[in-house]
Amino acid sequence: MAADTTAPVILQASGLTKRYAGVTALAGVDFDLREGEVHCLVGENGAGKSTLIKILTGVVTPDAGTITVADKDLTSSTIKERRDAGISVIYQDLNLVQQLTVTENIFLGNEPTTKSGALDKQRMRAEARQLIETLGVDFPVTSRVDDLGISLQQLTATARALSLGGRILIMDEPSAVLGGKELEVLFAVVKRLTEQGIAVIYISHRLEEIFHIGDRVTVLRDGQYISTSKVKDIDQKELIRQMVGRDIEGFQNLDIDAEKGAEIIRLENVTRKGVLHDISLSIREGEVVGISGLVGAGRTELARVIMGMDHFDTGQIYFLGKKTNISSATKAVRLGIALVPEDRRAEGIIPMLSVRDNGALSLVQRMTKFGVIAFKAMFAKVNKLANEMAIKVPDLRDPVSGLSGGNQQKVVLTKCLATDCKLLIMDEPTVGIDVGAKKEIYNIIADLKRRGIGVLVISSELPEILAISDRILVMSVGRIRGEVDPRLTTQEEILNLAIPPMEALTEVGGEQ
Amino acid sequence: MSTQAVAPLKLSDRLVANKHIAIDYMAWILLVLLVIVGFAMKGTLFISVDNLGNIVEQSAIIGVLAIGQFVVVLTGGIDLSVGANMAMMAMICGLTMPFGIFGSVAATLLAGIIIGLIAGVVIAYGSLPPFIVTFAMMFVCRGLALTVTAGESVSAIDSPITAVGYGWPHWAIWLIVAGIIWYILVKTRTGTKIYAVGGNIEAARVSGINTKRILVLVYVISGVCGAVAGMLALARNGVAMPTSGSGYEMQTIAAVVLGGISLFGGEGKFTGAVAGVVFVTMLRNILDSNNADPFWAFCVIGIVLWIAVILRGLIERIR
Repeated sequence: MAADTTAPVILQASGLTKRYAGVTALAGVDFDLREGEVHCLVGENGAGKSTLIKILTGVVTPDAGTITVADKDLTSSTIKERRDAGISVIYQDLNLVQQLTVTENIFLGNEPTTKSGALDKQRMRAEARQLIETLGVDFPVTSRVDDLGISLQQLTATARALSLGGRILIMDEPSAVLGGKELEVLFAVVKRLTEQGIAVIYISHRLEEIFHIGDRVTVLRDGQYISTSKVKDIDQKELIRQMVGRDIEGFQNLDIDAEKGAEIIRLENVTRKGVLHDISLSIREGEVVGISGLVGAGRTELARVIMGMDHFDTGQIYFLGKKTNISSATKAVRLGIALVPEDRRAEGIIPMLSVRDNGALSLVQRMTKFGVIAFKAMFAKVNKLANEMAIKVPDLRDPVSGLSGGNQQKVVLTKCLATDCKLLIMDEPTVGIDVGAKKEIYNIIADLKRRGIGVLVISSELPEILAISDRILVMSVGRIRGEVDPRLTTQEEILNLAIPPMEALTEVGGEQ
Repeated sequence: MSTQAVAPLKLSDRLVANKHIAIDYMAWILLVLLVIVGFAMKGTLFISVDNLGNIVEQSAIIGVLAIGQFVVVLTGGIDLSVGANMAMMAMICGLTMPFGIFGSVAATLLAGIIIGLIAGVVIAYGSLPPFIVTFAMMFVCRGLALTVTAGESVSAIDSPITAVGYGWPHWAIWLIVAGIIWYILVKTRTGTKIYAVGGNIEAARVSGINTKRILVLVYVISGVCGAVAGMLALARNGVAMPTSGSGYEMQTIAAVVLGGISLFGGEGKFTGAVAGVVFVTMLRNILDSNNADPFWAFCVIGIVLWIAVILRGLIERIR
């Protein structure tokens, strides 16, 4: 590709360190970028990629380390100074104003004006068109952004980054929302930019892409710098080996071999067009089934279908042996399915309500006599559960908002279990929870298992899913790619299954 | 280098693209319908230059306030103090009239800026909801307007300001205010920034826009509009009444919503807001000239608002 190892270094970062409240997010990381190269950045969730990006763009100030761009020390410069030095970012959520046009978004905060101070709309449109052309694509610059597909929105964000005269372009998971042809357009655009000497930092979970467009690749793990290699000198197996390697200490899934009970739920060939393909799985009483996969593999979507929040197009769901149509979340709850959602703050708790009231939310409906809530019985049940969970709160009447992440999660669990559910779906159960509380959550899961509840755990953390699951299903691009035994498998094997082959990406895009 | 072709917009895409135009011009469609209704009832008398001129003239005070409201709503905010602010501004103008017309006008405009500045700074830098801040400001303004004269009106009947009370000087001021705001919104960076702050404040911030300053600015604009409206009211009535303008905040919001402006901010055309104002006044004019109880206007406005909002929801669902 365009770049060679003799191209001048345009950005040099060394010894970058950042700590948040005792947790080391980045520990002495080095990174350099050459003109016209695509330098990929990989690592698991929490490896420190986003912290590194935030430091490079000036959003976060590092505790130690230096950054130089084109031989100028920029370590203590502001966001604006970095931008003026040529660093621009395309964030995953693009940060466009949906109601404005492509042109207006491209020049937002930076509009050219005529001598009289009015906007030079003609020039804006012409320059916007020119920028879009530089990308090698063509679409109307007068369209409102919310009328465009996600791919064109991304190109708008890219054009915007270029309009600032950026020489260094950071793309944060640009492909996460794209598929098929859109990906090809993105790759073509990246290639074109590097041919113009622009250096690209490319962050992606999809390792295949790195081999497609990358020149060099840097691996981070747990905030540590692991390696930088030329893409042509490394293979996927080696990359994965460098990315993984953490273990969960102090938790042992003991009764993995224990006799499982009757089948609770069985999915047969469940398909939701463009999202889930041919999903078959079953969960038995007292069994913890782990779902692993990358972000966007369709894991949360699967949970939503089981929970009755999304419909599916073909296939069957059997609940307790009977073919069942779970048409709504209300019905799912009535059947005995409960969900611990990924976004705890938005979907799990009502922050200003007390621990007790949050726990009772799922009971209000059923513990009512003649329209009056049986408060005594209801709270007795909630108090009992809350005590079992060992929620750390001075008084159960205190609001949930003041609790730590781990304790909030226990409140969500209390709410779910109060319904005497048979199947518990947990989406990323330990996101934003500290190490100690994580173990408590694992112990609660083990306890649920003993009580005969079936648990479906979705998790991006490989050590976690390996530690707590009885079986692991690996998903990729809406399909179950394989089932592994947590005692026999390795993190490498799971990642290999989880990383979609290039054809698979095109396949999904074609259906959209 | 080969150009990577991207498929041109399909017909269905065009339909989707045009749905925003339908919303932007909703108020005009409603206005045309209302003109037809008026014409059906009164014939040529309704569309006579005199009558249409009347409608424009009657729109002036609420129109100036609605323009301030419109700019605030574009940022996703709301200004509940516009009516009370107007009453207080009329009082200030009337009370300072002994210092001469120019001094009085300058003092009133300054007071409008200060009121807007206070509300804007509290909202932007205190990160407080506009609803509650301007709601409180409404009480403050009303209270001050009532207190300064212990509830009495202030006469300005002999003041030269009455020259702009009727006829073309009256509505010309509306036109001038509207023209200035139109220019800012459509022609300047500041305008784009206002839309951007309302559309996606995070995107605006990372684009280097000083979002807090923009928020302060829109409340200052609304405050100044209140001052202008207050002076127009004083000029028209010859007296400043501390109780005047009550309910005007709701009428301006109604006009803005009818104009297709999103209360969530970020979208809405200036022309839509103007059409919304004219619609509200024209409705009263029609009811008035048919000897109907003009209070029916409120009911009709309410029902039309429902229809407009439902229509908007349906149009937005087009995909």
